[in-house]
Amino acid sequence: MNSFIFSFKNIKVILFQFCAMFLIYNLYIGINQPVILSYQNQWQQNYAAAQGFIYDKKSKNVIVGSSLAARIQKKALVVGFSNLSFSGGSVLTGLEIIKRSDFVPKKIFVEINTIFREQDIKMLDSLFYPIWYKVKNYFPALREKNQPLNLGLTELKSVYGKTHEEHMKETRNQRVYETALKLQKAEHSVEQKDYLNKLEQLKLLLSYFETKKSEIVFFEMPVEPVLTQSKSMQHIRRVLKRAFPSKKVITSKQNYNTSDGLHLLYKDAFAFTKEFNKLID
Amino acid sequence: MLFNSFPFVLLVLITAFFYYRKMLLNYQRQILIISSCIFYAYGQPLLLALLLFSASINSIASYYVYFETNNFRKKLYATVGVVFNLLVLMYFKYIGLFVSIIDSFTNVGGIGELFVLIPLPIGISFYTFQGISLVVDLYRNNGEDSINTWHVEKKFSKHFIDTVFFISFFPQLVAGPIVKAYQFYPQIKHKYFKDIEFEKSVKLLIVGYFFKMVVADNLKDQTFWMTYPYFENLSSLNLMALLFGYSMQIFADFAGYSLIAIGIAKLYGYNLSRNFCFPYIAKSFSEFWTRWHISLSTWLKEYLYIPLGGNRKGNMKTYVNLMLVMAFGGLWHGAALSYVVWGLYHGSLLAVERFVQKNIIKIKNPMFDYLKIIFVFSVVTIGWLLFKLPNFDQVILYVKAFFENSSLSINKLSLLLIACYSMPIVIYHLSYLSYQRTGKNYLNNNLVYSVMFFLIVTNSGSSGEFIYFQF
Repeated sequence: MNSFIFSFKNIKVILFQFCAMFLIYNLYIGINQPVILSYQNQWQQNYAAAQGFIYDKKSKNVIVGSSLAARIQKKALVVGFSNLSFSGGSVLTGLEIIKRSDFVPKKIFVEINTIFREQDIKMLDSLFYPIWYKVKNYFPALREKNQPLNLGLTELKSVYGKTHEEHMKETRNQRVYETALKLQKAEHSVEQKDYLNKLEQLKLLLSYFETKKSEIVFFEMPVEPVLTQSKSMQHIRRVLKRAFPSKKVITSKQNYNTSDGLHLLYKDAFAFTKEFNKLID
Repeated sequence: MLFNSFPFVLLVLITAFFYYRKMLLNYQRQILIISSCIFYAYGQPLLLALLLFSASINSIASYYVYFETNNFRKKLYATVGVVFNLLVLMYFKYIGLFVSIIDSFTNVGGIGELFVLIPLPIGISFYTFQGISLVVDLYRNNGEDSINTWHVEKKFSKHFIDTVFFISFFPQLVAGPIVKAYQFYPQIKHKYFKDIEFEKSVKLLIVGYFFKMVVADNLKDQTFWMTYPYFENLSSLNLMALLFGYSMQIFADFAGYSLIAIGIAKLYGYNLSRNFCFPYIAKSFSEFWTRWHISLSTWLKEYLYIPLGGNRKGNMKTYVNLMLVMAFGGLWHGAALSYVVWGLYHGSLLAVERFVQKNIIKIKNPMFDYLKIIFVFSVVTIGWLLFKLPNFDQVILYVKAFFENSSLSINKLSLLLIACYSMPIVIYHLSYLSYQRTGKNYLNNNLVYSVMFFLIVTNSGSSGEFIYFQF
């Protein structure tokens, strides 16, 4: 029995120290609300974007898309936009997040390039896990964005990171570009087969928002011209035209440079964002 | 059911609540069996039947092995038990591989597709090995003088419950440690709440969850880029760092799982054997295998290497035995040729090391010891490439990219993150080296545990399955 009591004493100390650290960290995050500039990986960035939307301020216009639309530069975008574009993610995930957040945007801009990509159930379950979802509202330290390491990385980035001007001078690595483009060409040379259930999901989600008076706008992110004309992109446009005949798709009038065939370089993303502002006007 | 999920925490707590009720004291094994079934069925409800079937056959075979007095029949029952376990393992885990090999020779095609539909039952490699251990232990150890002897219940129903409990005990069911029957059965008795080693258990759980959720899960998001074709465009330095990171990740993931399993088993009064003992400070490959996945390496030693003759039949036979056992150990990890190659890689390292140690003069110098640690770690780490990329062609491409991509730009953030998340594992090993020299364990401090707990809550990576679940 003695050993049991002795053992428990140490556990109490561990718990007490943990609680103290956790509360202090929460207070620090809650009061200072540090701006996070650097994330550890793309998945964490996706979670941070989603949680930012769920728990913080929601804008009346929302962009949903993949890593392509994630390149849209907030600095160049007109005010009043939230961007729920996820690297490796799907528009269906973004739309579901808006729905489950009980929010009705004025306009939803839907990127079509990867429109029939699978919804990320794991991410949705994790974001809206019962109880935990509510707890994260009151304890910001539990959100992915506020991980202690991100604070450190942000400090490092603010000292050693590239400035906007330096980013604008970035060029692509030709070898990386050629290798990736070759793979993309092969991937885009066939029409997507398993799209029907995703199309149904999309129809349901869009009709949900339309009944709530949201306006849905499709747009296409610029990619390499050879991919713009690919079989898979033509197929997507055909399917969408059949399924949503009254909807137009906003497309860019200019050519932009990509780092890998799909993703815009920083300066091109910046230029496209400015064009996007005009296109949606 | 993942160890780092709410349903699991709930299951552990509810089980403990009923387990220590005075009125349910006689039903403790049954309570743990029910919890184990819930745990297993949560992910694969249909395959629970296979687990229970396997446990039933093992209980029948082991019962007859123990009580049979005729030596021939005793051997027959033991053989049936072992063959049954091997057949289950072969059918569910390796049939796809065998058929694809046959397909590639016969060019018939299509047969393999039928077998792709057979699901891989989680933990099958672990629980079939435990079944073999039960039958073999009872076959070998019926003499009163053996330390490995325990008494099997005369009443079959009692032995049946013990066996189902032994095979399905949920903390170690899906990824070990592989418990040997002679270690587990003698522990089966009434357990009391007052006897729980709370402090040990909590500390094991904190370290285990820290390794898994903070170290392994965060490294996983970096080492994701080691997969094909992503690695093709990474610089040589990044490729090297990723391999180092994967080496840390696989240790943190598996050692983390084992520590959690041992910690939870302790909550129910059971001591599972240690599965890792600072493997990356090994000064030789043979020492590495006494520190890495100890429950598997001792299983292979006791049930395969020694029965094959071990090192008692001359040098040549010893080398062959080492290669055979390690190739089998490799294949145990997965139904792919790259795992066999990985096993043979380690087998040849052990054989060459044995030859060198016998024939070359030993150098006794502390500095040389550190060089040996670095050398062993590096060679073991290179071997993990076969784990990460089970397609052998991709392994070749990775190595090729390493030599060709020196001019590509370096991703500094990735290097920094790999360094940050590998640091706890490096410190963990270095502190053990320091403990060996000074006798002081600086990490066994309440504040260290509190910080780990804090980081589990605030700095975990995205939740991922344990790497060893696939085996």
